[in-house]
Amino acid sequence: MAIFKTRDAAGPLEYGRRLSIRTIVALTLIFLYAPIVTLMAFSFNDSRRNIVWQGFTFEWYGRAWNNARLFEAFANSLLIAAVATVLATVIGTMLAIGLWRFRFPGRAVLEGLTALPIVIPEICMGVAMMVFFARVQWPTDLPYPLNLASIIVAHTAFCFPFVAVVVRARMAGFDRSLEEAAKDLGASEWATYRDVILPYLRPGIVAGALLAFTLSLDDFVITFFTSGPNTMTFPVLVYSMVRFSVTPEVNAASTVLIVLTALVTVLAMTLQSPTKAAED
Amino acid sequence: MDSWKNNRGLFAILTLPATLWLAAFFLVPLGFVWLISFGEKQGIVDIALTWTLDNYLRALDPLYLGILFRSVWVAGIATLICLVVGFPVALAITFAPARWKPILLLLVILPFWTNLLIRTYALIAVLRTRGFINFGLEWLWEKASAVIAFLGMDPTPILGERFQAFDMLYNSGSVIFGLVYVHLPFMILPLYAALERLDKSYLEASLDLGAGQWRTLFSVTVPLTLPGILSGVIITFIPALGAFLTPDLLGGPDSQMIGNLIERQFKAANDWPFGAALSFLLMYVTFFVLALRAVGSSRQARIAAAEAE
Amino acid sequence: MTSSPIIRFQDITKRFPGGVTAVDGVSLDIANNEFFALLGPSGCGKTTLLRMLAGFEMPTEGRILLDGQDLTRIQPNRRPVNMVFQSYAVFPHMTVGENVAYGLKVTGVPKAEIGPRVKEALEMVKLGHLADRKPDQLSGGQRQRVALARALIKRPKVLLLDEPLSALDKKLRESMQLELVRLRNEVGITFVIVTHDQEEAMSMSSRIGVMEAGRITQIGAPTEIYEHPRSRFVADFIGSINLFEGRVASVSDGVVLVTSDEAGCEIAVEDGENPSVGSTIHVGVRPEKLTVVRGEAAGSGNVNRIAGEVLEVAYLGERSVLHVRTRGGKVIKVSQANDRRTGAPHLASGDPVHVTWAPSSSILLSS
Repeated sequence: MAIFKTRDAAGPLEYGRRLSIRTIVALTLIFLYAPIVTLMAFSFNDSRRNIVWQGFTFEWYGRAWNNARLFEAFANSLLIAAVATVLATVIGTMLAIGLWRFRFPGRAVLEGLTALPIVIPEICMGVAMMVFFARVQWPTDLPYPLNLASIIVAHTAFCFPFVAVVVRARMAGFDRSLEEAAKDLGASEWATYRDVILPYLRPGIVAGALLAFTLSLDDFVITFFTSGPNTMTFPVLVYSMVRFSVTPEVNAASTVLIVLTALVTVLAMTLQSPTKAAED
Repeated sequence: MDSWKNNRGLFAILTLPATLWLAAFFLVPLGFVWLISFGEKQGIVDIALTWTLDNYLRALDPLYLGILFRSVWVAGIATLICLVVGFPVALAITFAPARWKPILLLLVILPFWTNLLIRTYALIAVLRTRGFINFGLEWLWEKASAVIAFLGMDPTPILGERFQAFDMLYNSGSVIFGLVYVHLPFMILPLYAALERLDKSYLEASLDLGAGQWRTLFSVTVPLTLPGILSGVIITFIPALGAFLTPDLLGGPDSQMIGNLIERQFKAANDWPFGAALSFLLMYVTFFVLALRAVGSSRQARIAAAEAE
Repeated sequence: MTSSPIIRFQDITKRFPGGVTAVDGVSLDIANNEFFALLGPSGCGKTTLLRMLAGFEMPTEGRILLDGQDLTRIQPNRRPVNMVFQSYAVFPHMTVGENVAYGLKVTGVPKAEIGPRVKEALEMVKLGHLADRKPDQLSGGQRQRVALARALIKRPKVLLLDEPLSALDKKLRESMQLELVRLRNEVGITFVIVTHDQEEAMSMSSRIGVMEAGRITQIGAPTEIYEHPRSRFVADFIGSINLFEGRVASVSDGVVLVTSDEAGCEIAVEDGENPSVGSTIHVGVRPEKLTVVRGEAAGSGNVNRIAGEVLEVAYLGERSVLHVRTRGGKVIKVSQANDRRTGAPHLASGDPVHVTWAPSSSILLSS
């Protein structure tokens, strides 16, 4: 019996235990997180200039909270994300089910077209939306919150394909014999969907919805081209602040957004984990 | 799979909303842009559809062509760096003990979900002349200076009079750095998916037959995960090519990319037809890359099918 | 073992993180030119032991010696050992010929030499005409032969095979059993196979090592393992066995008498063993060693004779297995060859019978 609890030598395929690989992974994680972490840390810095640490304060959070424009932009982003998520989830889920279920002429074309918004560069879509709203003379003087409609429409358009992809992936693992068993026992079409298919899809739908939410909340490029001075969203406002005057308020507001996004992401990942799926 | 005719009502309910939304709020807008690309400006707002190719030809102007090539070059280098860095990370995650995998994946994905704007902004604080890296280097310089002085020598000839900050921002290098920073998670995920699906026995068989680790990597691992690698390359390269925010915030006047050029046409320069043409050129390049990939994989399938006969 | 063994495991232990001890202090010698089988249920550690020999797991304790050389810390690509994987692991992106040549290519064998050697290897496994095919065009059995050729072309000192017959159907399995033995004889090197199928082990190997829970419980030739199992585990794992618990009543003239309530009779054992009188013991009898006769036993006498009733008859074509319920309630299995096509009526469910056997067929088992 060995006195010390030594580990065995690493097997030839245990790459995760090699020093060279571990170094690269560590450096990569540092590379990915250091800028964000320092940004978040300095949102608590009691100093106007972002370099030297001078003390801990919540001042910038307070200022950000009281900054009417910032607040309004944040609220706009949340509202847009909420509505776009609902729309995108419904449309995307139905599309996914439809593609899984039915054979029809033009099926491949539809599949290809719904993949387009995912694949084309964002700027092309942003530009297209801007041109579209100008060309159809979309009303620009609607009262709040209807003036956010154009942004919501654009967000829904680029979010629902993502939802469809996620739900389809979930759909692929569905055991059709469950559906057949339900029918065999006498369930109607609607009952089968309600009692067998949709419960199975739930984790996928939720994951898709959370994906749509974060995509919409974080979107810059498409919103940049479809928003105006009265319909500021948070990322667009931060952009102008970054371009012109950088204060730690931006750090504070960014930190809030990061934490929010992280919570939503972790939620999405745990909902998609295999153990949860097994429970279903 | 049923035929749609068996249940037309359900079929319509399920697929019509998506189809209509796609048509109205995606295809039609793209159609407008396509039409405008053949138009001419008439005054400040109006555009006349004259079916001219001038806008596309203008893109071939050396000035603009240079920007196009630089965009491809910058996006290409960034993609390459992502691949070289991302592969060992994906390898590490694949071969990590089971309880570490979800944690590592989460750690890699989280930055991806953070707002692009915020991440790019954070990089500015790190890279700029009065930023963290330079600050750190300056600190090191001061310490090195002190040590040399302590040893009785004059630091000036070795280190210079003052610390010269590195100009790391506002050039192509910083754009590449920023693109890698933003897109690295995009590359790692498909690489991980492909490696995870690979039957480890192939690697063991290769080692068993006498191949070293590097030989196994290039002779067995890479060929068998090639589809995944190509996926990763494509979903990194295309967004990088059309990037706007990163070169805008991190780049200087001579590190502009297509994205910036397009944005300018639609905002400051107000030349929508030209912007539309550039937009579509970018899309054509995107489709070309995707088509190459599709041809490649269908060719593989056809060869396999032919051989089986 | 007269000459020194080609493979020697010295006190090999493998503990996995998480507390699982897969292999527990195994010491084993394998002779040159043997066809050795590691046999055991899943989870017994046999595959881990094999992989340590190949180099894909590193032992926590102990050493592995190959032909006198300490292999323990040597990387798999430098060991004179080659393995045929359970999934065959034939590279899908290379042709059959390229697969077989791979091991030579990566170790720098001159190109001129590779071609003829590949041809020779493929001829040996009768795949010479398929050199340019891709693996997805081959059947499972053909792919296995590619894996064999690929490994044997390297002229290893030892060939390892992980569950070689598990993926094949019955007919193919039988022919492959013969094929592997033939190959080994032709090539003249040591083969070590790992399997959970005792038929596989017994039909091909010259010696079997039975493993349970990380330890080797018995090593021997197939007949030895089958007819002289040294533990209840081995007796039960290899083939079927009827087990009776009892107490040793007397030991004289090489015959041990065991009283068994389970059997409802006295059991005579001629096994060469010498247990102490009064000790609790188990006696095993193989189903094919039992004779079953219709009706009550003639005469008195209560040794090696059990009365009972046929519960059910499993007709397997070449033989039938009768389940007989004894007066004591225990069910025993009797195996009879169906050596006549027609003739006297077979036994059926419900028939009263008595079962007898020779004392030399009884096996004494302690644990």
